[in-house]
This record gives sequence, C-alpha cells and structure tokens, in this order.
Amino acid sequence: MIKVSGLSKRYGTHLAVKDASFHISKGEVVGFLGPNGAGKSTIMNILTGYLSLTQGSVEIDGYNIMSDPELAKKRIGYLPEIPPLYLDMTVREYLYFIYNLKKVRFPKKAHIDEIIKLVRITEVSERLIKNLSKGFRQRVGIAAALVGNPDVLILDEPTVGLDPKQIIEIRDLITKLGKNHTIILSSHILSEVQAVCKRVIIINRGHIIADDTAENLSKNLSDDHSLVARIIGREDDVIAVLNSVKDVKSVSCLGELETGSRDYHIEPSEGCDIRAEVSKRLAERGKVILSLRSNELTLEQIFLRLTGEDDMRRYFEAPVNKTEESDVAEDAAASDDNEDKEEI
Amino acid sequence: MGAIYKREMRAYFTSLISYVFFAAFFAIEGLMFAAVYEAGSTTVYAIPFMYPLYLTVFLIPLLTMRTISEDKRQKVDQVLLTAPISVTSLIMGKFWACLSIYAIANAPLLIFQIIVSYHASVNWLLFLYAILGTMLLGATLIAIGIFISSLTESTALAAVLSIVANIVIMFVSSIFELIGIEALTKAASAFALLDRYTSFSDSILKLEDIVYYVTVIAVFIFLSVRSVEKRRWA
Repeated sequence: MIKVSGLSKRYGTHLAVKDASFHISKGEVVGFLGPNGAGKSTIMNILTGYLSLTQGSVEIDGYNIMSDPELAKKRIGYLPEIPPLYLDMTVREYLYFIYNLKKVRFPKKAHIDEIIKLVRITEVSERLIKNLSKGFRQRVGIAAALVGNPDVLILDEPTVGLDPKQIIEIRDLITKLGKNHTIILSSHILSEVQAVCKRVIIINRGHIIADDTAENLSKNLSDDHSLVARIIGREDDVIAVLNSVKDVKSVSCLGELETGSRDYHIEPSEGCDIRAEVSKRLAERGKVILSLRSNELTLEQIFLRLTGEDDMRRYFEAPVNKTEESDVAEDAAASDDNEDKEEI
Repeated sequence: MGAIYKREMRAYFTSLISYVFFAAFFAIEGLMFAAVYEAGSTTVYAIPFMYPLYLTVFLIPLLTMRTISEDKRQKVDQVLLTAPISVTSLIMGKFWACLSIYAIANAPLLIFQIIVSYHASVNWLLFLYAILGTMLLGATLIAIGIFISSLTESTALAAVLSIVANIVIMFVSSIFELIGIEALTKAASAFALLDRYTSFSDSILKLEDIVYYVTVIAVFIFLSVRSVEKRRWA
C-alpha cells in the first residue's frame, strides 16, 4: 500500500530524513516513534505530498506522490500535528468543504453524517470550530481525514494535548478504524504506540533505526533475563542469600524505593530461570519478597537504548525517586542521582 | 477550484472586510453618481475613472491580504495542499472569489446606468469598455495582492506591501513626471497600469491594453503558484 524507498529530505544544509525505506501493506497499523525533531512529521508531510522529497520515491497504492500527486493524495486522509481547521466555520460546514475539496462521490449528507457519528461529534456539529475544545478540534481533524473514506490514514500525534479520557477515546477510535484502513500514526508517547500499533518504526535524527513488531523489538533487545526483586531485610544479608542461590551471576542493590525494603537487580547465568529458587531460598531465610519481576525491556527502554540517549537511559534503568533519607544506597544507581534529579 | 471559491466567498461574507469594502465603494460611487446626475450628465461610464480608482489601490489589498498568508499562519494550507487538487486551481479559486467581491462592489454602476437610461439615450458600448477596463484593472491588482500574500505569513505586512506595490505600478509614470525625468516617464508609462487604464476611459478599445493586463494577471498568478509550491521544496 505504501512503499517508501531511499527517502531523503534536506532543508538547506540540514538533512532531516536520511535514506528511509519501508513498506507498509494494506490493513497494517504502524507507529512512528521518535523523539521530538526526529523527522516523523517530515516523513508524514512527504507521504501526504505537503513537502517534496530530495531523494528517493514514495508510492501510495502504486501511485507516485511526485508524478501522480492527485491520484496518490486521493487515497490519503491526513491529520497533521495541528489540525488544519477554518475556525470561522461550523463543524458541518467544514466537513462539507473538505468533501467538496476532495471531490468525493458518495452521497454528501449521508457520508458526512456517518463520519460525524463515528468520531462522536454529533453534539457539536452545528457549532463554530473556534468555540470547540482541543479534544473536539482533534476529532474534527480526524473526521476531515476520514472524508472520502481513504484507504490510508496518516495521523500525526493524534492524542497530543488531550486529557486522559479523550486519549483513551481517540485510541479506541483508531483501533476501530484500523480494522479497515491502513494507518500510520506518530507519537513520542511510547505506551500509545504500544497500545494501538502492531508494528513500530523507530526514527531518530532522520534515520530509521528499528522496524519490527513491538514484541520482537522487546525480545531481541532484552538480552538479559535478569530479575528485579523488592525484598525486606538487611542489605548485606539479602545479598548474601541471593549470592548463595545456584546460577546467580551477580546481585546489586538498587536502593530503597519503598520504606523498609530494598530493590535488587539479580542477574542469572546464561539461559537459567532462577525465579523459583530465589523465592524458595529467601523464604527459608525469612526474607519477605514484596515483588519479583523479570527485567524485560519496556518499549521505553528499547527506545532509549536505540536512540542512544545515555543519560535518559540511566534515568529509566536506575530507580531515581528515592527519598532524601535513603542515603544508604551507595551503589551504581546513586552515582547517577544528581544528574537524574536535574533532568527531572 | 469550486470548493475553494465557495469557501472564500463564505469567508468574505462572514467577516467584516467585505462589508467595509462594499461600504467604501458604494459610498463613493453613490456620491459620484449624485454629482454626475445633478449636473445633468449621462457620463456614468466615466465614474470608475474618477475617485474609485484611488480607493481601489488601497482597498483591494484588504481583500487579498489574507488569501494565502492566513492559511499559512493557521496551518490550513496543510489540508489544502494535501487535497487532491492542483496548486493552480487553489490559487484560481481564491482569485475568482476576490474578483467576484470586486465585481459586486462595482455593481451599482450598472444600476446607475439603468437609471440614466430612463432619461436619456446612453452609449452602452462606452459603458462596457469602462466596466471591462475596471475589471481588468481590479483583476491585475488582485493577482499582485495574492502573490504578495503568498510571500508572508503576516496579513498586515501583506496589506502594506500590496498598497505600496499598487501605488508604484499604478502611478509610476506620474511619479517620474513629478520628478521631471522625461525619458523615464515615457518608459514607465508603457507599463504603468494607470496609463493603460486611461485608454479605456478615452473610449478606445486597444487590444494591446487587454493583452497587457491579461499578461500581468497571468504572470502574477503563475508567480503565486510557484511561491506556494516553493515552500514544498524549502
């Protein structure tokens, strides 16, 4: 459905997108993930024909965006980062305008009514757009993208600036739309991409640095099967107990996250599952486990690892929300403390 | 183009700008007509060559200042440029909308002419020349205004620049005449819009004048299209 090969975009001397290639088949829901300024919006603007490309080619359903722009654009519904709305029009007038602009052939009123119902803006459909809240404006933007029922939807940060309830509603809507549309959405919020998209393309400084399903990314990159445990008891004792467990390679204390307990990072020998043994041994020695979880990488950590934001990575990997009195924790994590606090 | 035209017309009629525009034109045309009528003259066709001309220079930028700059500022250009229409039809939609407003502003001239025709025989051909000249002049200034609007995101700046440009292109030969450089005056009168315009008022329909106007309009429409497209390549 969408074929991008060797795409580059240069702004003067600045190369915003470097040699990006990917292929999105019909019906896929793909998330573009990347920090602000990574080039997500630039790529989307090129896909929709708003910006030109410096090198490479973009094909939408077989139509080249540069040589057949009108046919390619007809297949795309685009929601830019800031919904492009005429504030002096009512919602219905605006959607009728978009309908005429896109030269849609469906029965006008029925088509627009259906979209209004789908994105749930019925109650504001006769109001001026300038009087609508951010959440409703965002939905009007999505409605405009849906006019003409294009096969491809490109949504640039569709939930930015919305409250949690609206975010959930928009996500549900996107999931619903994903059933019969090809969707690309961008976000710098990782949980959002995880919630809605099966496939994730991670972009940093104009490069595509990963392109896979969220699960695969997490599987491939989390090389260790280490555990994080929260245990009550004296630090020395607990470390001694943990070290006595077979197949434990190393143990380090991460500090006090909850009063009265400490968190420990336990690394097993290659390919060993030590959870049962750890829990048994600690119980025998009267150490209470408050929690025990495997240290699989979340999308956040994958993202930071891939984008190589080292300071940020330490922030996520090492606990930082320690209280002032926990100055006992003098391990590796603590040494990053000052830096991390500044970042917060 | 139809969608853009409709949307622009709607925007004019729901904002104050077009009403200010109409009020100014209607008032001055009405005053002129009263004077002409009082004097017992039938030269209604000559009205547009009098004071409304000076009004045009200042008022057309009011219409054109927001055409493209406002879209850019509000980021609405993203929806327009990603829609399956060409940039040319986008610009033309806006151009025809401006021209329609300008035509409505000049509509009273027709009414005046009809009123006069009850009392005396009028030369409709002369009237037609005058209207044609007026429309061509307006269309030229609109094309220039749209081009200037495509250069900036600020509507105020677009208005000011358009007024300056209009004054220069309209009165360039008069300005040189004032300074007293004869060669330049002669050269400038070849392309000064006003000099072309007055030939219509002299009731001479010259093909070269029409060609001149249409060419200037086409050039500025073309430049506007390039200017909007240029942003894609920036």
